[in-house]
Amino acid sequence: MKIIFTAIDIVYNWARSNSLWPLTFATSCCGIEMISASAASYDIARFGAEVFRASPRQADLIITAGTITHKMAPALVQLYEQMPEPKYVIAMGACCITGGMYENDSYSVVRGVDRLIPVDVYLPGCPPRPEALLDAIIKLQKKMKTESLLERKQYLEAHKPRVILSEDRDCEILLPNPDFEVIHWGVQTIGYDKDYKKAEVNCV
Amino acid sequence: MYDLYAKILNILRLPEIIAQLTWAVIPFACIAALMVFVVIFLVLMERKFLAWLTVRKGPNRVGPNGFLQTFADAIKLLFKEDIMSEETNKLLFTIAPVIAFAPVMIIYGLMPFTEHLIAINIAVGLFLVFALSSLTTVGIVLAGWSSNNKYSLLGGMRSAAQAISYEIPLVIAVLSIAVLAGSLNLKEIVTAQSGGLFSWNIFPAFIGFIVLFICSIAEVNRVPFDLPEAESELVSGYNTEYSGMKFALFFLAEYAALFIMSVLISTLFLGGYLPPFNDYLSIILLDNIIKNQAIMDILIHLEQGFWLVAKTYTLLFLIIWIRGTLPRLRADQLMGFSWKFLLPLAFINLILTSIIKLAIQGY
Amino acid sequence: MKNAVNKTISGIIEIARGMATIMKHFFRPSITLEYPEKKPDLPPRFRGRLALLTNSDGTDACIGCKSCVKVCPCVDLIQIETSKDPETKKIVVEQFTIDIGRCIFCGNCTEICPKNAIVSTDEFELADYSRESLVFDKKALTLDPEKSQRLRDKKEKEVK
Repeated sequence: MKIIFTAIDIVYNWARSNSLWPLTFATSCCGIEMISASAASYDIARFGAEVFRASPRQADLIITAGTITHKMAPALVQLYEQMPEPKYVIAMGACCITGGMYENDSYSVVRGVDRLIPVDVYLPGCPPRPEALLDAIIKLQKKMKTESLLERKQYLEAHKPRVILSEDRDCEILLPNPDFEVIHWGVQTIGYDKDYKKAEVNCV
Repeated sequence: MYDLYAKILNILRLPEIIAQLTWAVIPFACIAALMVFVVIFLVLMERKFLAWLTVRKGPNRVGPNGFLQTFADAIKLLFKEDIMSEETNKLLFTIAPVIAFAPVMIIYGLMPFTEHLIAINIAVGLFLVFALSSLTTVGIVLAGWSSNNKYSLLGGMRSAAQAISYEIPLVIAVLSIAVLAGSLNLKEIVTAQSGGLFSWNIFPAFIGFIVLFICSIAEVNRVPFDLPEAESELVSGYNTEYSGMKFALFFLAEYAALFIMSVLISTLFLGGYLPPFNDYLSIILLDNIIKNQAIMDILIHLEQGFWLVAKTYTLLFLIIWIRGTLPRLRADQLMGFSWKFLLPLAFINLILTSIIKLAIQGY
Repeated sequence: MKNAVNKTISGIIEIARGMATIMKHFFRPSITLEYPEKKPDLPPRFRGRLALLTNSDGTDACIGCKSCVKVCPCVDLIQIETSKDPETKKIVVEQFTIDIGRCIFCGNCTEICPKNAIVSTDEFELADYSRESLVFDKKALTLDPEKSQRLRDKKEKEVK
């Protein structure tokens, strides 16, 4: 029985890792690099990933290319939840990973997209080269090829969305879940309250 | 053919009734297999050709030179989660891809791929083909309506409007073929074109060929007439809410319809399975060498298949080429093009071919 | 009527011209750079991951002046811990961390550095599976003397 499951896993992992259909989702300058990755000189089609789907129902991968603001956050979470399993996330660019240069004193930027959705591959750069995006896709394929369906379920369980989405889609409730321990290096460690205080200090 | 099949089953000591029952199933099994094979190859071909047209490389990582890319896509779509939102009409939502898919499959049975390779040979084949090909639109409209999504609904409505306007010039263009061949049977239409390149229907009815070609691109919702799934306007059109296998069925139906439309155009206008010479190549070249009639028959059969495939893939390449070149039309341009331009052309074509027919036959 | 015919003919010609142009590309060799096999030719001033240089005798080039910390547009991106050596009274850099996940690769730190101790390398394949692994500490940032010399020479060439 185990052998059969392993065989299925191998075939299935091969299939889904070679047919990553990304969602057409770009919020700022990293999106331009994403577009040029699908153009002639870099050609994301070589990995079978040129099928940019407009509908999240048919996408396997969301490349969060660009700054995610508090206003965009509910839309992003909604798009992610609309995608069918198995789904993967590449956080592209500094703004997506940690907030980048907006991290200290911005009133509007989400500090790291992994507070909203579970991220599989972090791709730093401001913006990263198209080759770096291809590299991220290769690394994601590597990850997909080594994981089984059961492991994926456990991973998602451990990386549940870290934000409580309010009923009326009000952005103010988009605060980090207090139970969740923010993985972050450096000064800023907890929630946004501290950030705001810090921002004031910086402004002064 | 049936006798041979019954004999084989008789050797295997199976009763006659099994042969009778299974004989009807075999063509459909073959058609389904053919359809899946054709679509898998066609999708790969399109992705490769589009890549080459835009100076790219196209899929080349999966299997030898990217040959297994579509297999990977198919397996992935099979295993993908099937999402159905709460507010959908669940019965119609499930049945819509099947309604879009089934008529295309029946059209495969009506097509004369070679002289003997035709599953259902009926007198009104041409009529039935167009009746069935417009049924696909019902599936699309149902998908749009049952999804309970405004984009899907708009896509479905657009598809209905498009199908209604493009069906008319399409059928009138095809009417000239019925006039020329004097029959609605697809096999007879092909036989009427025998006698080399210049007896093909494309010469008396060239305008009809153009009209049918444009209309069939619109009929299968291809670029530049892909308004029902216009990505920049309607997210993904009628299949916005579809995921996994149901989406794959729509995908399959679209590409299968594309292939069968090309087969239809080559059957009606380019002589179908007939060669562009006076006689079959195998007869011209090998008649003196091979004396055995049975081998000759097989060779001719294969050659017929080759000619049809060659013509079909030429047309398919043309369609992919158009997709690589032209942008999408606006909705009003689409309608105006059909009613103001294609319809008069189709009528002119009908009159011209009738005159030619009368002039040749002399009454 | 005449207008319509003219329009039709010109439309056909235009579409044919467009399609011919596309067909020309069909026979051109593809310009795709096969990325994972062939690495790209980066421009000489490409700003990749930051790195710390060492002197030829293996000691840190960084003197712990913290100019880079001041000039960095991301507050607290670069964190330096220093201590004074009680014997030689020199500043010793104990910890030097850069969060690549926040870095915007502007290169201000490389320009301000008085000793050219911090430089941009050509490395751009930085994708990783976790956010912690994007934080580079002093050990990960420091290059060996040989590489450092190469980078230093390159930078001097640029300045000229």
